[in-house]
Amino acid sequence: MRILLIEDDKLLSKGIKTALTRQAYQVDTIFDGAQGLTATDTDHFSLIILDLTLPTIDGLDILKHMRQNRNQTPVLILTARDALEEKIAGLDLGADDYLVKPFDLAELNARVRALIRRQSGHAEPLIEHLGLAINPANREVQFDGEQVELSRREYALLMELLAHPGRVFSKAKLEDTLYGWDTEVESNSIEVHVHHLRKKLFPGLIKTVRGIGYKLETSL
Amino acid sequence: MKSRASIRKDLIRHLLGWSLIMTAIPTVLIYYDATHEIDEIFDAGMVQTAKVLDTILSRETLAQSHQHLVKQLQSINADVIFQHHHYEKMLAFQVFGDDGIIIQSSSAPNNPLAPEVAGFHRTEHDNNHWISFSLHSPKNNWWLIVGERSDVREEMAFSIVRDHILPLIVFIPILLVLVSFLVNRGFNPLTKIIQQIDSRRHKHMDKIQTEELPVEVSVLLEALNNLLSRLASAHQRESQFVSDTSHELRTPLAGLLLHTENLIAESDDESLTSDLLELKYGLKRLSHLTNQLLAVSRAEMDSPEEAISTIDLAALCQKVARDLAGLAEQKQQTVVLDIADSGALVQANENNLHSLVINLLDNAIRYTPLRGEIRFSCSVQSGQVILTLSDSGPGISPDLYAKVKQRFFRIEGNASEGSGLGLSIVEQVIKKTQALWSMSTNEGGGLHHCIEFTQSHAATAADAAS
Repeated sequence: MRILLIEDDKLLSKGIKTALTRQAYQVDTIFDGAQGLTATDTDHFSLIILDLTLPTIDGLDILKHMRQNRNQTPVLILTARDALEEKIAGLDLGADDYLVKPFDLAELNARVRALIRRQSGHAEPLIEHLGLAINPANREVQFDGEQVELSRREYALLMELLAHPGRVFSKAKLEDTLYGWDTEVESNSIEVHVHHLRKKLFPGLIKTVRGIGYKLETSL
Repeated sequence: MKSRASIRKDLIRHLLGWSLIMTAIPTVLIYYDATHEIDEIFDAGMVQTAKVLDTILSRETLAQSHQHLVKQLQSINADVIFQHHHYEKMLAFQVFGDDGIIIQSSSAPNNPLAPEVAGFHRTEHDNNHWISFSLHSPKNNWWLIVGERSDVREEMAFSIVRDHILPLIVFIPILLVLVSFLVNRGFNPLTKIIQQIDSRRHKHMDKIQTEELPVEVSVLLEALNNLLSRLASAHQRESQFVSDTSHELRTPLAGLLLHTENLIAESDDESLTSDLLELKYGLKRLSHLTNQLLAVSRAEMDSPEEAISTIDLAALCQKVARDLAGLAEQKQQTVVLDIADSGALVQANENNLHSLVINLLDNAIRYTPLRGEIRFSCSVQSGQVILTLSDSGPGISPDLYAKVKQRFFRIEGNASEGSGLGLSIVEQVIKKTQALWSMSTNEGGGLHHCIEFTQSHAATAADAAS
């Protein structure tokens, strides 16, 4: 799950990145409106967290631009202004949710989870798939009733594949999702994570589609 | 305030004083001028009379017709056929020689009017003042004296002055009435402006509008309007500053809070965690204060966008009670609700009314101890919507009721985490919605609020839609 955070305040941006990274999300940060606009055009994210008052281009304009270009990525607005009119304006322009600063970490996590869940087509908080039971709220993964310990990136990879079971994800896209822009990726890292997941869960869970990438098995 | 100079009184006083002075000075001048002129005319008349008498009278003519003359002179008073003038008694002549009075008019006293010196004299005889002219006739060797009582002249001078002064005496009171009427009329625009300003609410800083004004007043009004607009913009800037500051504080606060929570999540040291929890608690308080500051500035700002609508206060109370249920639960408090089913409609701005209810209830929860009880009711009684809130907290001493409505006032020894702004926000909204707010102590010693709103009979937007 890759999240784009467009927030010009470095302190807050870093805090959010740390918090969400611990939740196994890959968070990419941008501090400026124009760069944010470009990023929404060129990269794919599971969620965009958007501050409204930004240098160069206003947050609402980025949102407007996205929706006009049929970019349906969920958007969570962060705002320091809690006037009703502004909330309504944001929602009317196509935002999916908003958070008024300052907010609780728990609230941020809950809203991010809910938005990503809805985007993946899950309405229920628990994700179940072929004997897997995942609770995104505390990132607990169970297989056949047994608790399974996954590393942060293994969990992130599993969640990304779980968003669209059966769909083939290219290796490059998965690398983007797991590492964003800011980490040097070793060429075989995705293979390593897939290998670990197969070992910790069950081998048939993730299928390799030769020359293209990986997909999650939909039935046994 | 000491009463100061009044333009109205000053004008009237000065006009009265100066018109008196302006009347008095010419009157005195006229009196002296008239006296002088009368003296000259009468003196000339006396000299001429004396000379004529001297010419026509001689000892010989007198010897011939003395008896006849005396008879004629004495009969002047009695003779009705003889046309005479009442002033004649005040005019006299005498002729006397060494042997005493030879002949005289009947109006003359029985002794010489003047000493035997040629020229004018002023003497007194029988309590009358006489002015006389003495002429010595060497031909006849006698003194000829023509005299006049001086009150004749005085009477004339007085009559001239009186004729002059009478119109003025009549005119001055008329002038005074006219002046005070005109002054009052001149002050009318001022009175209207004063009424307009008096009837204003303290934050109403629109321009003062009145119909056509005299130049003098419109200049004052223009200056006043300029001041008002400067004040309004200063007030707006102040509120805007508080609002901007609160907004600006929110982002770094959010950052600090997140970093603290991240640290708490990372920490596996118990004492470090407890310190971090303290830090988080402090930041939460700071966030609350920031939000309250924003609410204060919003409640104080008289923004034209503040739409007034019909609001169902009962529904609003239910919503606020639900929103704050978690806070009360943390303190294991019981919140007893008694909310009217219908009719609790009030004309107000929704945001403001929401601020009022949430701050009132939040305040009660904060200051009521663990496991306390809060009773919250909203009812409709004879055209009024009444909101009451009663808690089992320590209450407030009645002499502090006014003070707790001030910003940042805290009761000493009160260790709660409130911002000190809650009740001042309530007060602001009460002022705006023109509701009545009273505080009292309930049977348990806790605080009891009662707020009365005028019931609105208009349908709410939701009702109208359905």
